[in-house]
Amino acid sequence: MGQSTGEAVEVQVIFSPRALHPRPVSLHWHGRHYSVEKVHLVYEAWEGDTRFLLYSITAGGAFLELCYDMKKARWTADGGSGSGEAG
Amino acid sequence: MLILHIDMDSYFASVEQQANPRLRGKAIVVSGRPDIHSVVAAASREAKRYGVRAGMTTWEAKRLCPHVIFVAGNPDKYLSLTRRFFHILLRYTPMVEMFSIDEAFLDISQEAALHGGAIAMGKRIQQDFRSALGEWVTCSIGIAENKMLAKLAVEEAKPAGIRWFLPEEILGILEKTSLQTVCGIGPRIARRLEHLGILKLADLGRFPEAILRREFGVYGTTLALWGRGLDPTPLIPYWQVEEVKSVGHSHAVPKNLRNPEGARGVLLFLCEGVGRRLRAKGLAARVVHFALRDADMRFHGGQRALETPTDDEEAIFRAALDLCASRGGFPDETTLLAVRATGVIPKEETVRPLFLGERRRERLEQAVDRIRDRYGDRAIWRGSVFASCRHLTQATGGLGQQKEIVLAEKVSETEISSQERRRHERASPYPPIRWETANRRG
Repeated sequence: MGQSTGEAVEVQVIFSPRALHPRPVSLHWHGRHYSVEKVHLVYEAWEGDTRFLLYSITAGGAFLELCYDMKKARWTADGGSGSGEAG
Repeated sequence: MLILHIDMDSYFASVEQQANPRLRGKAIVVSGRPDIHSVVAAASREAKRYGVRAGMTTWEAKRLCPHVIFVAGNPDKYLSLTRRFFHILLRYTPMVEMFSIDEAFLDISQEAALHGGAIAMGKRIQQDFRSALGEWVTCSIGIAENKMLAKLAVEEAKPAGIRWFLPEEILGILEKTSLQTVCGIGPRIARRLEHLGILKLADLGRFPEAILRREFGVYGTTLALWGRGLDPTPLIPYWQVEEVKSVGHSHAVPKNLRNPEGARGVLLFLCEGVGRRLRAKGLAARVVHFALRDADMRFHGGQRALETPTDDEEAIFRAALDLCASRGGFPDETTLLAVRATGVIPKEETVRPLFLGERRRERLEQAVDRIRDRYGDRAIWRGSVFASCRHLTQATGGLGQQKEIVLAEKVSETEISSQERRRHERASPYPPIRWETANRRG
């Protein structure tokens, strides 16, 4: 899993009627398939009237962040250092 | 009455540790911007062991804990989780007061028995939080007869515990509780009380109320009640709208903008925020307050009544600039700027603009607000603000509006931007939270 930022990624999710958000179970990235081992946190963010769902997950042994643009129905992945860590 | 107080443990820091497993078990600090002079908004438990506390400067935190990791705050993340835990609390009672982004009071007088008692209810809430927010985000719970005692109880419950002050314990607790532990007694009041020979809460209760009233006015009565373990402050449930009394913004100025021209840009940026929030609330302000802090950490400022109440950011900016000029202008180095609009009244009670130019500016500001509502705050900028301040919002997000600025300025208002509030209310199935009244002590 790399360090790319905002790259499009295919994500398989499960919609559960009781859950607040769809749960990602696997993702397809750079021609490889990864299972989502753990979803650490899900939160919502807004840019104007566009709503995003952001997932902090561990997949393929690496930590990364997934972003779901609810307007465009598009997933992107950020495998960087995560959470704005600096210093 | 039985009050249950919930306080999230090292909230911002534990949310970041929940989001990023690599930060777990490490000393981290959430701050506005790690690369500039900033303020600690939250410290993880590990950082607290080194003496790092919310409110101190980032360089002080670095001095105390050299290996501390600075994490830029992400207000969306914290607000999202706050809404989630608020929603959980509503399952237990509608009598929920959101005291701040990470604290809530619940009146459980009626509901405790339905859940097997207050302690069982508290444990269930903690369990629900763990399931919904994650194992790393914990809360402490204090239970008592009133808000003041419940807040004291929560301090004994930290971290992740539950403490119930039973009525028979209260006298002993008042005897050992120092004044500054009480939310509402700051260092200055505590010093004045110490001069009167009052060191503990129980001393306050024994002290003649008449003298307290003479020294502190109406507040003296509140102090006397606190000293007897009573609290006159009612729980204000989230659905009771409280009047907005002021709208303000402040910002620690980054190094490259501390010169007079840069500070002027930051001031306009702050006035834009104040104007936008006034318009979103349908309010106009009659008084503008301005303050700046120089390189020696001295505050200068003042206030000015406007001829006509306004929500126009340019009018607010001009008033603030005049106030600044009347006090000798910007110093060579400005480290913090603050603008606040008070004396607010509903906009509809003000006189409509008579002249075409004013009406055009009003329409222009409304159009800009609509663009920002739709495409985000960074979609459209004034040229002068873009040139100097475009990194301010990107780096600090809205964190400063909620906690950091409150800590820096000691303003008793933790308010998310009105746009954020409205869009949450529009899109969320949850009831709106009355963010404006979230008073807290730094």
